[in-house]
Amino acid sequence: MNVTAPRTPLPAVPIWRNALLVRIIVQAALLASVIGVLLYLLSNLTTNLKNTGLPTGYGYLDQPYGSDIPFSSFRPTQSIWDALKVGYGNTVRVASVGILVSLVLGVIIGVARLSTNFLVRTAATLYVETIRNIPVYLLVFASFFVIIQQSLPPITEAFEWFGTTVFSNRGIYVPWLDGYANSGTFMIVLGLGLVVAAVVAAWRTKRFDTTGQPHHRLLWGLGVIVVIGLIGYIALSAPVGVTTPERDGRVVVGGIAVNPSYAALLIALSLYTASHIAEIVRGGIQAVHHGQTEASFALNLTAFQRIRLVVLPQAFRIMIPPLANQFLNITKNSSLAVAIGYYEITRVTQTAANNAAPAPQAYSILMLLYLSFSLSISLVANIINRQLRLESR
Amino acid sequence: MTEMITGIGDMPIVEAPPKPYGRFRDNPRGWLKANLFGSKINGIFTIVLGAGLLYAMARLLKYVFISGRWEVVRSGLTSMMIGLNYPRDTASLTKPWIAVGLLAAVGGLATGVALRRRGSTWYEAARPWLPVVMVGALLASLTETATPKLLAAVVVVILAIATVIGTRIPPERTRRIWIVYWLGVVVAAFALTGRELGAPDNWGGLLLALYVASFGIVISFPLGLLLALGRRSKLPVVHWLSVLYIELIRGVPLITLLFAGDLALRFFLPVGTEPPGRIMRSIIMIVLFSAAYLAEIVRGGLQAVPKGQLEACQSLALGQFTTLRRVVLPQALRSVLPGLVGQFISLFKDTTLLGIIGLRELIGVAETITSYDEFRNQGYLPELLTFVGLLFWVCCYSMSKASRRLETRMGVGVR
Repeated sequence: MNVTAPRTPLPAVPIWRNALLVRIIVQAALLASVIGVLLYLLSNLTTNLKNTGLPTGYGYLDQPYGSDIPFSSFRPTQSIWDALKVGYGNTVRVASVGILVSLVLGVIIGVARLSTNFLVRTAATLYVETIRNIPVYLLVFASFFVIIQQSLPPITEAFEWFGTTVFSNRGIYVPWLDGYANSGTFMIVLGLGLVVAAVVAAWRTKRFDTTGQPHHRLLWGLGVIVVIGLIGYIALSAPVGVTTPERDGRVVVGGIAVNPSYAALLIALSLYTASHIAEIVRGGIQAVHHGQTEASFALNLTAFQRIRLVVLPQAFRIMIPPLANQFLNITKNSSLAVAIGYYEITRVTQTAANNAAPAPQAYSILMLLYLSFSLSISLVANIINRQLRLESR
Repeated sequence: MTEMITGIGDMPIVEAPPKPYGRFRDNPRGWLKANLFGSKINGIFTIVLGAGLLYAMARLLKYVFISGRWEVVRSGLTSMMIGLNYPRDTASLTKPWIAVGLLAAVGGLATGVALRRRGSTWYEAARPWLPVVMVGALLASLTETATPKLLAAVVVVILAIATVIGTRIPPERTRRIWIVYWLGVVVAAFALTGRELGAPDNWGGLLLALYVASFGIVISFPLGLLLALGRRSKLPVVHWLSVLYIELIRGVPLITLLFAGDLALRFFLPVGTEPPGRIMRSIIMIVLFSAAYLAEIVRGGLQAVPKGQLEACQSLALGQFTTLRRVVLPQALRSVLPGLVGQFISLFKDTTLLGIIGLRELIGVAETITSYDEFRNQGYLPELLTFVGLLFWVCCYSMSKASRRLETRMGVGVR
């Protein structure tokens, strides 16, 4: 668009063909109309809220929530804001555990899809192709209403597995740790152990860098923690123990109760996301150039070394963005809990909106909370991605 | 993109790997050794997994043929297809059949035209239809009266006739045939809904799911295209507005949007306006949702157009719009088609979420049927959910297979 110094003066560019001016005007008009529409919607909102007698601000968050939250110490007199905090914790709990479980499952199944064993390969393919093509809500719904509610026995006839776990449709009770007198001190000892282990691992790495001898830093680190933990355990005369659940009629004592809705949601989300992660893992491994594998054969690396040191690091680099996407998806899909009574943020918001909270504000907060999850996951993914990016010449 | 070096001159460096199964065609023992009992660990895997799979298969067969009480599916089939409250008079029941017939005609015609244009075999042309016909046969076998069976047969005949007609059209006259396809689809939609194109609130089941997903993808496509172009725009305001919209929508789950549409949308309308029906509200939210995802798919397609194409346009002094319309979009949209199918599949699966906001889609219908007097508290949910799952699975699996074939045929990602 820029014309370099013409010899004879050209006729002046008319205003409507001045590129810069047109751009500015078009963008200003667009921005103004978007803001205008938003303001219009906002004025509609305030009028409508006033007409229906609902609060227009966010003051409702301090009002009492009015319902119980199962499997928590929440009381109905506490505020909606407190309820959202409990819900946030529950979302984090299901999303983080779900991410771990689905990652482990997904990697196993993804590698199995490339197995040389025909049966292993077929079973993995069957799994992936079946689960991927079923709605995740169907899985959540079925795992709660069929597996938990219909297949598990009522509490009076609960199934007790070798006296360690009690299965019933009111809750699944599993063994848990129980702290005694010195448990606080023991925690400090374990923390110290972790620090020492990190130092030892760093020393092993440094030794590896200078001498080239195998570092085995994971083994060394784990060994240090185990030794320190054992010494602490004996010195503090058994500060922690294990309690197992014991059922007596309708009451279960000891252990820890797992919310059946949580179990159902976790099962369904992990199975579903694992099928997607398996495809990502398979794609990532297949994308590693075959020459790399051949080169590691030529260097006489063992199968484990080949996969651990050559294939996986390169595959991982390709897998990060889609994996982050799946982690995001599992977080977002945890909102399906709203249908099976697990009180994460969506369910809490829905209950609040049903009680008295104004729907527009309630859902705007819900969306902001999910956005915070999304942003933090993509932030972490971006950092990892930047660290592992191939330095291109 | 990495380029595979396959040879210098006549000397091949990398030979094509031998076909995995061809090697063992006449050597079952070799196949067994390579695929099942290559090593000790492999053998253990084979035996353990084989036993597990056999057991699972036995359980499944027993469930399907002996223990499953499929009469509940049989009696709820109509509700599963069109919804619990869809009017049951003959005139209303005819509408879906007319739509199915029209779609079969369009599909047959398209298959026939493609068959002739590409010179593919009849087997290749019939393959994508196989799962559809199989599901149709399964559904027809589950009906309680003879009329639906007859009508299903008529639909198959229409499909066949349309295919034959399609093969009779000379290829040079099929350039604008897509207008006929669109006309057929639009007429089918109008046949279902009558004059107002919205879905009435008494719809449910598969009809609701398919209608919402198709409507959603068709309406959200132009929106997604605009957003994708906006995101690639050099104008900062346009760029950042698009980015803001796309990332906001992609950051929240669909169910929160559906809830917002169901409960909060009416507050944003002018005072005194009656909000649209429940299904239409959901469709609006689904369109807004899907547009953000489509924008990212289309953006991928736009990025795949080589820069040289744009430079060529510049050197030909083509205007921006002409460049877009004649050069960029034809190439970009070609590579976007599989992604579009994928988005349709995931929208179709996501329609189950409508059940959470109280619409009776397939899962909602299943849930309601188990609350009927004759089926209450007898544990009929597994059978119904199995049926729903099977329906979804067949639809999604065949669509994703078709999209993968499309991908290979169009050479997406291959230069």
